[in-house]
Amino acid sequence: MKKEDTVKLISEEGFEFVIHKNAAMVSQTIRNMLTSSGSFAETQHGVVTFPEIRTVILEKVCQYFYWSLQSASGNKTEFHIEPQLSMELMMAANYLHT
Amino acid sequence: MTILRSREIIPKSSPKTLKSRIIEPPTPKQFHEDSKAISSPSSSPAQKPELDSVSVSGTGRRRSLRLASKFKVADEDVRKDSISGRRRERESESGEIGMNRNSEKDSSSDSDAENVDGKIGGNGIARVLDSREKKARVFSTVEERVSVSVEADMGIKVIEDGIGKAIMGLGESGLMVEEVRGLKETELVSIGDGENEEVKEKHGRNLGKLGLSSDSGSFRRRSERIMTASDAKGKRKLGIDLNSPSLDLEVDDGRDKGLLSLGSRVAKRRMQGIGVDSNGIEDHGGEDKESKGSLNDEIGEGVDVDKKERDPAADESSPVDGKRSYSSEEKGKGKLVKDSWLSIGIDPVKLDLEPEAEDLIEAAVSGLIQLLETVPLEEKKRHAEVTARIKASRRRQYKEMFQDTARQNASRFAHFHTEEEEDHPSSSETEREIPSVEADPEIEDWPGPFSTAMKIIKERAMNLNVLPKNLKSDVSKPAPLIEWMPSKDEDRNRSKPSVPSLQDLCLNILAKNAEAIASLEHVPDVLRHKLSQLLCDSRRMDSHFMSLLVNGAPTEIRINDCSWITEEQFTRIFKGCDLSNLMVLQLDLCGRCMPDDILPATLAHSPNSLPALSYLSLRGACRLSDIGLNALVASAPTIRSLNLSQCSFLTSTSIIILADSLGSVLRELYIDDCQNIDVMLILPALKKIEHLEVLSVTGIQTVCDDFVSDLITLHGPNMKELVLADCVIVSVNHVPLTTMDVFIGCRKLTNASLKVIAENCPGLYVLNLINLRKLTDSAIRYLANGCRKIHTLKLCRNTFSDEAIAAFLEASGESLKELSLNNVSKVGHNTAISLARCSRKLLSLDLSWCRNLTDEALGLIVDSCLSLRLLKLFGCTQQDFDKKLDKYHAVDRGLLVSPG
Repeated sequence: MKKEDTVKLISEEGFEFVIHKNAAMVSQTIRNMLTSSGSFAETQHGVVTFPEIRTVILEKVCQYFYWSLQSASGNKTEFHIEPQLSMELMMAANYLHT
Repeated sequence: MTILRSREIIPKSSPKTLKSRIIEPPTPKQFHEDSKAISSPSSSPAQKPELDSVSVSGTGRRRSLRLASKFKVADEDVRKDSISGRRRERESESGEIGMNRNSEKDSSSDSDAENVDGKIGGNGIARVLDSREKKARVFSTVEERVSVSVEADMGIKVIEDGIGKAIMGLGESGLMVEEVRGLKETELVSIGDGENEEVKEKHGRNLGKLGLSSDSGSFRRRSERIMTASDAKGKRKLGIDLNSPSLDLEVDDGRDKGLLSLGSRVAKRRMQGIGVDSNGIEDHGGEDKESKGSLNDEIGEGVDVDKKERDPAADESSPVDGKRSYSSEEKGKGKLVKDSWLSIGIDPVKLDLEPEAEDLIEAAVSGLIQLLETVPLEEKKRHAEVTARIKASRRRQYKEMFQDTARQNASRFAHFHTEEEEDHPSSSETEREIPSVEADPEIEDWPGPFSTAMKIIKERAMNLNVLPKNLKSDVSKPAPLIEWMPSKDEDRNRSKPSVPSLQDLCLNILAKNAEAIASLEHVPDVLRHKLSQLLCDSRRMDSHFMSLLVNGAPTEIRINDCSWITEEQFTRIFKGCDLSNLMVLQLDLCGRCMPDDILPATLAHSPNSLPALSYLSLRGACRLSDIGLNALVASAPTIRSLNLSQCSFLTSTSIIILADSLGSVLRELYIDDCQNIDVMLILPALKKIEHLEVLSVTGIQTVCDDFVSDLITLHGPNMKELVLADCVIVSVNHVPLTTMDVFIGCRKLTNASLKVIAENCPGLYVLNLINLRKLTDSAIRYLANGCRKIHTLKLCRNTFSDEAIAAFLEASGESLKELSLNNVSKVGHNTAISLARCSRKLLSLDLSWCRNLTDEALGLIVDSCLSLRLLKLFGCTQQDFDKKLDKYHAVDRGLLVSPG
C-alpha cells in the first residue's frame, strides 16, 4: 500500500491501524477530517487519533470499513459482531457517523 | 332484467318530467316508464338518471306499470339526504343526486361538482354520477315530495349513499321521498344483503316505502308502503313523512313516468353508478355493487317484492356491472327504470328486466314522486341491463339524490349528455357545470396557475383521448396514452445498494439482547431513544430496560408504547428515581398504568418535582382525569409541549386550569380525540396561552369555524401548526404563517374552507385532506393557486378528478416531497404524466387503490420521479408490476415499493 493511499487510525491505547483511504472514508467523520479545507494535522499527515475508542472496538470498526466496501461492490456477506462489543461499538459508530 | 317488484308508480302530475317512456316492467318492480317521462325533463345528464324519486302519479299509466313508483320518490329524497350522509363515495358521486333540493344538499352536490351534471332542480333528474366516470347525478325531483326514484340506477346509488337523506331533504313534500329513500335503501340493502347498511338504512326505508306503494293508490299508501319497506331494513332513516300531503300524490303521472323512466335509467345508472361507486369505493367492495344491482332490479318492484329480489340482485350486481350499467344507462333510458329499481335491491337476475325496468320502475314508484329529468328512455334501456347490477344500493341512493336534484334542477336540464360518463373531458365539464349550477359561486374560473394548468391538461387529454371509448373498460384510456417501456439500460441504476450502517447493526444486536444490557450510562439520548423504539416495536420492552432508562439522572425518557406496564411496575420504576434533569418524558399509550392516584406517588410527588420538564407526552392516558392532570401540571411548571391525545377523560376544566398555570410557557398543545373537551369552552383558555404555536384538535367535533377564526385571529402570527383533522372546521382566517400544518379531515369540510386556507396560508407546507368527501376540484384549484409551497399533501378518499390533480401538480407541485393519493380513484394517466414531469423532489408517493393507473403509468412515474424513495401501491391490481419493477431498476434505486 502506498503511503498516499492510507490513513492511520490510533486508538486509545496507542495502537495504530493503517488502512486504505477508501475504507476510512466510509466513516463520514473521518471523511470530513481528511478532506476538510483547513490545515488540520489530520489532513496533512493522514493520521487520526481516537482517544476514546478502545483498540478492540477500533479494530472492529476497521473491519466494518472493509466489509462495507465489499458489500457495496456486490459481495454481500454477514458482518458478525460479538454482542459484548455491541454497546461500545454502537457508540463508536455513532461518533464516527458510520 | 326481470326484477320486478310490484311497485306501482303513482303517476303524479309532474308535467315537466314526464318524458314518458313507459317501460314495461318485466317485474313488478319495474319502474314505470312514467318516471322516465318525469325524469327526462329533469335529468339532463341522462347518464344515469337515478331518479330517486319518481313522481308517481296516480294515473293509470303508472298503475299499469308494475313497478311501484314509491321507490322513486323516495329515492329522490333519499338521495338527497343520503347523499349528504352516506357513502362518501356515493355522496361524491351522487352528490348531486337529488340533493339540489336543499341547499344543504347542494353542498353535498357541490362536493360532487364534477358529477353533477346539473342538479335538476325539483323535477330534475338526479343523475348519479359515477364516481369513476363522471358520475351521473341523479337529480331527483325533490320538490315533489317523494317520488320513487325510479331510476334504479341512480336511485340505488343514491340510496346507497343515503338516499334517505335525499328524500328527507325533499323536505316539504319530500317526506315521501325520504320514505322512498328508505325504501330504496331497504331494498338496496336487501339486495345487497345489507351491504350498504348505512346507505341502505337511509334508502332502504324509503325504498321500502316505495316498494310498498306499489299501488297507485293514495299517496299515503305509498308512503306507507315505503315506510314499511324501509322498516324491513331496519335502521334506515326514513325520512318519509307519511303525512305530507303532497307526498306522492304530487307525483303526477308525468312525473311518475319520468321518474319511472328515470328510475329505470337511474337504475341503470345506478347499476353503473353503483358499479362505479363500488369500484370507486374499494373498501366497500363489490358488495355495494351487488347490492346496487339488486336494488336496481328491485327498483321496479314493490318493496315487498324487492326484498326478495334484492338479495339475488345483489349477487348479480357486480362492480363491472355497475360500470356497465352506467354506460348502458346512458344509452338506454328504458333500462334506467329497471336499473333504478334494480338498485333498490332487485336481484341481479332480474336485471335483465331492462325493457321492463322502466315500466317496473314506474309501477314501482307508486306514490313516490320522482322527479326525473329528461332522462331519455333510451338511456334507461341501455342502463337497465347495467343497472341491474349495480342496483342494489346505488339505486336507492340515486333515487333519492336524483329526486332531489331533479326537482331542483329540472329546469336546467333540458337535455342530458349521454356520453358524459364515458368522456372524461366532457364529464369534467359537466362537473364543472354542476358546481356553478349548484350555487357554488367560488368555482368561477379565474386566471391563475391552476387554470392554466388545467387547460394544458385538458388539451393533453383531448389530444390523447382519441381512442374509442370503451365504456366497459376502465383502462382503455390510460394504456395507450402512456407509452412507456421499461428501460433496459443498466445505467439507470442510480445509486448503489445501501449497506447497513454499523450503528444500525449494533442497535439490532442490542435490541435482541436487551436483557443483557447492564447499563445505559454514557449512551447518548438519541441512541437510547432508538433502542427503546426498537424494543417497543418488537414488543420486547420490559421493566428491566425501562429501569435502565430511568436510572441515573436521565434527561430523556421516551417510551412509545407503555401498554405493557402495570401500575405496580410503574410505581416501582419511578419511585425514587431522579427526575430532576428530565426534560423529555414520553409515556405513550400509558392508559393501563396511569390512573390518577399513581401520579402523586411517582411523577407528581411534589410541586416542582419535574423542574426541567419541557416536553410531556401522555398519549392514550385514558384513565387520566382532570385531577391527575392538574397534579402533573403543578409539578411541572415549565412544560412547553403537552400531548394529551386520546386522554378521553379530560374535560374543558382541566384545560382551563392548565392555561392558568402554563399560560406563559406552553407552546404546543395536542388534545386530539379528547371528546369531552368542548373547544368553545376552552377558547378563552387557549387565548390565555400567550405563545401557542401548535394546536392539535383532531377529531374533536365541537371545533367549528368560530373557534378557528377566533383562535387564528389571536394566535395567527405565532401559529406554526394547526391540526384540525376530523373536525368541522371550515375556514381558517388570516394565518400569515410561513410554516403551517393544517390537517383537515372533516367530512363536512367544503371548498369554502379550502379557499380560506389557500388565501391565507401561502406558506402552507403540509396539508391533509383525508376523507374530505365534499371537496371538489375547486378545492384543488384554490390550493394550486394559493399554496404553492406545499411539500406534503395527503389526499385520501377524496373525489378529485384526474385532471384536477394533474393540474395541481403542474401548477404547484414542484416542491412536493410527499404525496398521498390513496383511494383517489380517479387518478389516471394525466396525473401520471404530470407526476413524471413535475415531481422531481418527490420522496414518497402513495398511489394505493388508484386502479386507473396502468402499469405503464406506474413505470413512467417510477422512472421519472428521480427522488422517489417510497411508493405505496396497496390495492392496486396492476399485475406484474413487481416483475416489471425489476426491469425498471427501481429497486436498485433503493425505492421501496409496498406491497411487495
